[in-house]
Amino acid sequence: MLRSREDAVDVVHTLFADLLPTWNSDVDLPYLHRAVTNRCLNLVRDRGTRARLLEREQVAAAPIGRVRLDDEIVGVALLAALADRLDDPHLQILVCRFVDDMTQDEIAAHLAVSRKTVGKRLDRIREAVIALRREEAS
Amino acid sequence: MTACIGEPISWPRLERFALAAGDPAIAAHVEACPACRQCLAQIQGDVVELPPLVMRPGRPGVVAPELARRAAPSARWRWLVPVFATAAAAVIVLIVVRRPAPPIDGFGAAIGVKGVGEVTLELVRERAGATELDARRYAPGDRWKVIVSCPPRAAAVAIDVSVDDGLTVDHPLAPAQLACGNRVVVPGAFTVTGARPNRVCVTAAAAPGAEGGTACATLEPADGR
Repeated sequence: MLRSREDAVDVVHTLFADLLPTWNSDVDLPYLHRAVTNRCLNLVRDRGTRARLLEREQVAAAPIGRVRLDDEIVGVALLAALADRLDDPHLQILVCRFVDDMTQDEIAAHLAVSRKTVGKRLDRIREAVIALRREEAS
Repeated sequence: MTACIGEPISWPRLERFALAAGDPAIAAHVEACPACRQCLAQIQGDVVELPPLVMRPGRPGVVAPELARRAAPSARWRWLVPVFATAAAAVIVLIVVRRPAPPIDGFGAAIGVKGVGEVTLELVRERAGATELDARRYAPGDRWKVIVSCPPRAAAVAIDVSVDDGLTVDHPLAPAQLACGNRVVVPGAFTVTGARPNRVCVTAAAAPGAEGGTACATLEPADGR
């Protein structure tokens, strides 16, 4: 998501450093996935970090882009632009679908929401992208 | 190669498959789908060894879970924990503030650089795909990189790397100017060859050629000669 290995390592490292004092058996892989996603989104939301990420976006870490949002690969720039327009639940679904390439069923199970909710939120995400592109064009 | 032949296998499922290839459906899909095979290859070839966690002074709460369980206080005395924790933190802060530990060789410690602020330089060794901080022994094939941390408010920092035994340096790093941030990796890497100790120095300055702070370390050959 961050397209920066160093920042990704930092995110994982600080997560484990924060978890160590309260480590318990409730911490499973889906929890770690959600926690890492949220921390990465926080980095993208931070305007200072965002500028640095965009400046140093590594070409080698470019996404393969199997699932696209309106024929567009979701990179840091689009994530950053949408981070200002969408709330946390929508951003989580955006990452699950277009960064992690999850199916709607997988997302529903992963985030403990219904498949219908996932579908509605994906529709709103597409609307936000259309509005963004319309504003950019004008 | 970006198109999947059907519904793409998500990255989390591919990661679980890479850990323990147990799902025949995923195996069959990956066999037939070049895009998903490329993703799986990326996962398998992208193993990163995280640097060891460092227990820093001033964070007394960070302890190993086994020790934390063993040392769990009884409910009767639990109210004393925050009091003692605060007192211990205050003592540690006093010790750290009044008696800063002298750095061994300048790397890993904050250096004051005029026009930039506090800069921390780290030397990282990569050996056979594994990275190690604070390594001070070199062997043929090792790659060394420099990591810089400086306040984001500073516009940039100029980095210059030198090795005293110039004849044995295969790939010296060119001077670089970087945007400040947390653990910014200086582009490129260098190797050290030969059989004698090499003194590696990294200078950070506000601009190329300007007076700055320097961290130096002696890299010893791995065989100890």
